[in-house]
Amino acid sequence: MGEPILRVEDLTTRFFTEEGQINAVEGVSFDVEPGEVFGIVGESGSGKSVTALSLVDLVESPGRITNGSVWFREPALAARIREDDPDTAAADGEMVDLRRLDDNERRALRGTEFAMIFQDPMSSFNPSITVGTQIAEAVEVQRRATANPRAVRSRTQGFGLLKFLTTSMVPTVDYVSEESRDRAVELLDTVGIPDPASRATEYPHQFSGGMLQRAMIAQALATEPSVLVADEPTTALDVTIQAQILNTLGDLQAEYGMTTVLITHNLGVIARMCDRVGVMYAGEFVERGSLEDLFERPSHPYTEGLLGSSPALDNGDRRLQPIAGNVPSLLDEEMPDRCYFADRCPKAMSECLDKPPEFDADGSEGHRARCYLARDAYDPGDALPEGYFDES
Amino acid sequence: MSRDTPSVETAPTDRHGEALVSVRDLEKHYDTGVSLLDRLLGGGSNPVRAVDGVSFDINRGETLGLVGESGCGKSTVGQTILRLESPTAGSVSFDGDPLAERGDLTGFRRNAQILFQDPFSSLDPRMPVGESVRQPLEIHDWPWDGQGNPAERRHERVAELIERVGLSTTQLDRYPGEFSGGQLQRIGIARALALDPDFVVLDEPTSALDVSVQAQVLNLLADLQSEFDLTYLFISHDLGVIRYICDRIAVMYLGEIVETAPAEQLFTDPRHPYTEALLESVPRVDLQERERDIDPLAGDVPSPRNPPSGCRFRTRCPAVIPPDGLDIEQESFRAITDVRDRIADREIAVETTRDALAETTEGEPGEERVAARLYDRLVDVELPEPERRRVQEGLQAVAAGEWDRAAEHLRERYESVCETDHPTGQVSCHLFEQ
Repeated sequence: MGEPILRVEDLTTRFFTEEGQINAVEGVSFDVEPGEVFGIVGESGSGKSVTALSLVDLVESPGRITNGSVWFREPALAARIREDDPDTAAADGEMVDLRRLDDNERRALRGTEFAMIFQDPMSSFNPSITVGTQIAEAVEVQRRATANPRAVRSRTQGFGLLKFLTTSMVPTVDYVSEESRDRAVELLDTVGIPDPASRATEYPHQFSGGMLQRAMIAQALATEPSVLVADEPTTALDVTIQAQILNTLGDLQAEYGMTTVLITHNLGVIARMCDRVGVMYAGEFVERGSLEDLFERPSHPYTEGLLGSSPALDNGDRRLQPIAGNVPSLLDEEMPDRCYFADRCPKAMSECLDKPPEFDADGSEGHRARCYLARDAYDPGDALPEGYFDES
Repeated sequence: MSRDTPSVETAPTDRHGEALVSVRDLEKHYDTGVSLLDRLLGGGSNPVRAVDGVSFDINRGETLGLVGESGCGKSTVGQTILRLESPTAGSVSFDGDPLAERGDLTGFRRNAQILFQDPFSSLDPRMPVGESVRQPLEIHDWPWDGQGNPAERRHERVAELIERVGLSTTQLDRYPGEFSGGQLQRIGIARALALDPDFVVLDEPTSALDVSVQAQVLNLLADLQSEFDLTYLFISHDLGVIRYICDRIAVMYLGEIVETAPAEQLFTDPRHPYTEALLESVPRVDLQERERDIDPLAGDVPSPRNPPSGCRFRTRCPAVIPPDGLDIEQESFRAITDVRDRIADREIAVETTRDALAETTEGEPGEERVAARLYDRLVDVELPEPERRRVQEGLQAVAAGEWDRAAEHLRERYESVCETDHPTGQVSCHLFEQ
């Protein structure tokens, strides 16, 4: 394994709602190497989207990252921080911890080195500003940030009377420069939008879903990010459009060597795009490893179950092997003190009633699973009696 | 279990293979209404052609899959067959009787049920689920044999149904909010089966569910089908699911069925270029997936208000047939066709181009230069010399504002059978008509 560009350690995000504490992400750790596509797969409510938001620090109240670090490789910044304060905990070698940086540093880093693509392009654009202007704005932010790294504020930030008065009195003052507009058209061209110059002057509603998702990718590319976090980028799209977008993402990834964290529920998308994968269940990574590890020798029964319940296109006769039961609640008080999957697991044993630790599993280096079966072979004699969980 | 139609009681299994539902030239247009302004301007109405002349049979005991992308009209077909929407043309026969001739649809409604996509919005949130399942029994005044105490019989029937779909009778008094999506979909199935129908429309029944739960529901549906001898119309956009559950498959595109074939055949030997592209687009759960070269369809689905002439798929088709005598590569022909489509829709920003040119040079740019700039912007492939000239000439007419002349000039040389003739047949594509 090479030197990772992103190292997530023990990331924990909780939501403090009126119903109680929700453990959306619990002790998630993984490395991402430069230029690779790391996939996170899971069902709805498994915490994969919150993991994505936690990476780019976009978790909103009542949610909060309560523990863990997001290390990002940025040698220059790490050196500078250490110069200011030799005992700092925010730098480790060439890595800096995004969670321990001060706000300005973090914002500067997050805004330029990280970009995010969301699932629903229709609700991610401002409907009353042309697509070109919105992309140009992102370019402009980057441009100004490079010129003056300490003062990154876009016009989208800040409210108040003063702002209202200045914008209404001097409406001609344009935040976005002409060069940024030209760059926006270039970006639209890069992501494969035909006739980008005239499309740039259109509003989001004049775009189709697929075109708008391309525009969002263009916007994400505006800052030439090192890390792209894509949260279900094709889920809202039809399958033919999905194929277009995945091809575009793949091409851009190859061209710019961008590191990508791809979140999806679709194992096919994972198979098409990813080098390594983490499987999430009930807020935890239950298994992670290379694509081959997961598909050829899954260690965790949940991974096996996911594979067994996906209908295949090439074989219609196989009967699906569903996972019994339902996706569990993430409400703290309802979460048992055992393996969260045990009540749905066909191979649950008495050991599983303790919280299972993470084990190295067979396969490549870095193949790990949070299950006793990664270490020990399954013996049907150890199985819990049938109906064990029915009472509770 | 009792049935009200004696014919079914005698020997249902003997009639497998016979058409239970026959759909002929079914059409559903939504006219969004003509405003006064439209009328003053002399514009007619321009309805959304959601379903535009589809015909198929669903045989007893089989599952017919209806697959297509969003907006292709597949859900409208299901709802129009069940008369939840009334068709604007065409006919539906159920068990040999045309529905249009039946004055009273109660008997039909009893025998044909539907399961919707979203389990959260298809059950009344303020009604205990047991009551939701009992409601069809009450509405149709079950039991029809009149024996026993109706309330008790219904209670037993509800208990029997709820256990059959894998829930427990202790859950009957709970409200929908207390169940997960998969459980609610089971309750929806129990409700749909309450009157022991022959035919069930399953409208994206698992699209809202997670994959592990989806597999449970699909297996349940398959088991119930053989147990109660049901006929399904299974509507879905998910080709994997369709393959798993269907016997025959109809592929829809923009309000029309483009191909119908047995499931196995459709997946191993797709004929229509759209079916082929659709199958190719689905990412496989397979280690070799990354190496598979996908050539995805270009562009988007056109508007159903104004579908393309001839073959509706021609605007995205990778195999449009060039006119006789024109020897041209598909890629070049596609580029020319795209320019022609934009001219037909008047979707070329001539003014922007002219202004941009005027900024860089002195004086008003001539039509030839505007056309050359348009050509550079619109055509990104190398065209053979005669075609390049022809397209340039067309764009020159566009620059002069003569859209119709431009369209005509290009049509003369490039008109394809795909735009003039509407294809028909099991595989509605001109490639398969010769």
